[in-house]
Amino acid sequence: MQKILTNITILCVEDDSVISRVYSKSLSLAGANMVMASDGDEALRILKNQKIEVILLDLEMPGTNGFDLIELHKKERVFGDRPIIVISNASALDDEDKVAWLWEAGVADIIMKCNMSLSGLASSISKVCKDNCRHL
Amino acid sequence: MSRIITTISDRRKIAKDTYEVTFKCVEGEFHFTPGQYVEVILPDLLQADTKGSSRFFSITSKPDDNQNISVAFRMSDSNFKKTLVDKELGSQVMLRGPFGDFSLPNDDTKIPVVLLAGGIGIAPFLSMIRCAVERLPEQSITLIYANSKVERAVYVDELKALSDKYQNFTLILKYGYIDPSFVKRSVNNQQNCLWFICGTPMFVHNAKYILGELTVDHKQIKYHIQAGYGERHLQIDSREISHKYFNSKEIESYFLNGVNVSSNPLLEVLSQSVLISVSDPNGIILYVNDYVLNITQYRREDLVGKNYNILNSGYHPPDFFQTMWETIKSGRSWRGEVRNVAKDGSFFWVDTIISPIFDDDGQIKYYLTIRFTITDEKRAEEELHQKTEMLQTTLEQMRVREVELEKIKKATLNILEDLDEEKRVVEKKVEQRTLELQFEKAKILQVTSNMKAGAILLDGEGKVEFVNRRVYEILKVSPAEAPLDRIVSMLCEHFDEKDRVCANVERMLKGESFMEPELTSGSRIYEVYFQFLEEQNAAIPTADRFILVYDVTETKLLERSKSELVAIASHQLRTPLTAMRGNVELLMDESYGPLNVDQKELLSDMDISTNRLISMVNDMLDITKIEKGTLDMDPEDVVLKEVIDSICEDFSDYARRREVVVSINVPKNISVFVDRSRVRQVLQNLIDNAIKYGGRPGKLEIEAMLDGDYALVTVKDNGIGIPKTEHSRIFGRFYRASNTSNSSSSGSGLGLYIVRSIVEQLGGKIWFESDEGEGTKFSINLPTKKIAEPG
Repeated sequence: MQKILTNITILCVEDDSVISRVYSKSLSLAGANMVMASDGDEALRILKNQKIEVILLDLEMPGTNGFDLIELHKKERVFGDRPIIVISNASALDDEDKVAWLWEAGVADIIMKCNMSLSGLASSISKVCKDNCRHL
Repeated sequence: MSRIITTISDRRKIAKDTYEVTFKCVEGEFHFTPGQYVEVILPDLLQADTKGSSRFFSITSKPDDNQNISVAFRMSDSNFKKTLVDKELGSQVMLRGPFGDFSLPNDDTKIPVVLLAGGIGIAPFLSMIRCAVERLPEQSITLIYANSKVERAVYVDELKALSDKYQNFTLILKYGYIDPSFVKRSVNNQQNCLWFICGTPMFVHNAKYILGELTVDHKQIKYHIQAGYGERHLQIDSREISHKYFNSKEIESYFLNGVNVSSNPLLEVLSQSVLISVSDPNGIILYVNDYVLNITQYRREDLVGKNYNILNSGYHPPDFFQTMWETIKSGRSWRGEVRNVAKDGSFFWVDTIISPIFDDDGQIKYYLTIRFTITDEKRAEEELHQKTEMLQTTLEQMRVREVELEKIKKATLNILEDLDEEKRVVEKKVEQRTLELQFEKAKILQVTSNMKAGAILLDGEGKVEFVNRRVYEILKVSPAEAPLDRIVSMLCEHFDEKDRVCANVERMLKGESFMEPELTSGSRIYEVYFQFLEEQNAAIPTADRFILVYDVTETKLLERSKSELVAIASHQLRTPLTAMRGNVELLMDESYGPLNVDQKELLSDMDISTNRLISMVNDMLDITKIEKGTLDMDPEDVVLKEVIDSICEDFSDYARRREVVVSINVPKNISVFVDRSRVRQVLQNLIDNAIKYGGRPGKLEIEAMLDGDYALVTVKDNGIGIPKTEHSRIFGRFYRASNTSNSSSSGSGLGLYIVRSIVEQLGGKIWFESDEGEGTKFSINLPTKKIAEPG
């Protein structure tokens, strides 16, 4: 893994523990500081207490899911100006209307999990950071 | 004598076969005395009766009887009499006359009058008696009426009534012939009477004989040959009388001594139409009447004193006249038709009777020659002969025509028979066809009634010809609630998309055929076919349109749950696959320690398999979308070169590993108007295949060019090619070329199926050329601008 995400703090909201672990490990190897949340509520708590720069957001989760969070963000700007990268296997990504809704909500990128290699994911995050986090 | 137009005022049957017809005259128009006769002319019979258009009849009415002229006659085969009797009252006829001088003495001599009548000769006496009995009460009149006929005589009843009423009239009826003694008795030996005789020539002759026996002075005898048979009849009758009625003294007194012939009624009639001459025993002409001069054109002095040779036309052989002379010299009459010559050289035919007239010593003193001109008759005979010949020719022709007609008739009959036979055959065929049609219809009814689809058959006007049972089930009504003329509108109402369905029905009536894959009615889902038949429906010929309604609710729900299952399963597979892929990648990245060659190879295989699984899942999801019709299409201008370069960049490592050299010949200015991600998916798939199945070392050529409103893109490899036997299947689902068994191929077998589906949805076409071992060239064309929506 190339160290292209050094010192970037990423909140990964992912319910599947195996996926969560793979992302955590791989992106850490790429240099990122990984903060993991297994559902939306946890993610909201973490956002209040920690400094988060990028959010990797799964859509389908038990409890408060990715859609709910984006809905909240649309209303209350819960993610602030942080770039949000939607990363999901959900069938919603096959639904043009839902994808359009996501883009409207201001997400930085939408990634189909299974189609993306880990290095590819790291590149995507890096690119999003370069575009959105001027301070980096 | 006058000629008048009159009308028939009365007609009655007075005895068996005997009629009296009365003509109405204007007063003073027609004068006659009792006993005279009249010529009745029916102009319309001119051609119809062989004896001509006129007949003579005795007048039976009194002169002062309201100016009526009545005539009586016995019916015969004569066309004339039948026509006269059949004529309507009021019909016009022509009368000419009167003829005959048969009047009663109009003086005070009171000489008894005896009337001798035979047969219908009674008629002229009737008018005399009717007049005399009243007007001349002193005048004794006796009628001796002889009738040999069995039939009841004419006027007998009336005559009896007259004799009963008037003293001066005596009626003596005699059935059979009269003889001198009977006549003598009848008049009580009173011979000084005025005698009138009327009847047939034979009767008149007999009566004159009888009176001769009774030594009655012939000056006291007036006679009248019954003229009821017409002029011609009169002529023929008069031929019999020549020598019998004239003795030598009479010849002298009538002809030679210049006595007026008009004193004899018969001679008066004769002299107007007959050539009369008298010669001495040597043939020297002593007398000729005016009619002879008229016909021969000679003057009297040219003929009198000469012999008849002057009239000899030379036509007859000498023995003709020799026979004549021998006959008359022997004291017999001679009769023959002779052609004479007139002064101007013209010929005339005469029917000649030469009678010897004897003196008191029985010596021949004169020859009385009576000639009837028969030139007209000869001419008529000639004409008749010609006409007969013509008639015969005509008849012959008619017979020939008849034979021909018979032939034609037979031929016609044959044709008619043939036609009849044909008609029977056709009828049989029609019957058979009708049965077949009924059978077909019955079959259709049976089939359609068990059909899952609701079927409505219509004609081009929208008139419903047939509805099967299923339609009523779909509409949830009974046939009674849904008459045929309401069924289509009821069907339209049934659907949630009723306006759309109504429009569809209209389109179908105009001759379109199409299918609605999904119409709904509440929770039910229908597939509806609006079908126009190019070929006529044999069983119901006018119904060439139909609507088929399939309730596909269950199928659709099943399909949906299947699709959902696939979608859910696919999505659920993605998560573990993602984890697998990530873990393999982490290991292969050697972040957790270096790997030996075997470990690397094993992990590489796992990587390939995982990726293949992922692409299969993706393909299955794509197919689900294609089949659901939910494949997203968002066309925009896409620069082909950009897309192709990008794909090739992604595949550059892969191609290098496969030893494939990629050459791209795509002009920068070609753009297509399609969905960007989908065209990328298509090209990616084709390029992936080309690298995967390309040769080693491989050569991949990607080219693009403009072709009208389309851009043509070709992707050509130099690989194994596609076996010919599989060409038809490569765009099918789950196709994998049989000649690719190597483990490196990772296709799902859905690739080309999806590619073709997408290309078609993009508005393009895809095709390929391939020879096994030679490589494959795929070509796609894609629209460069927005395609006008069909319809």
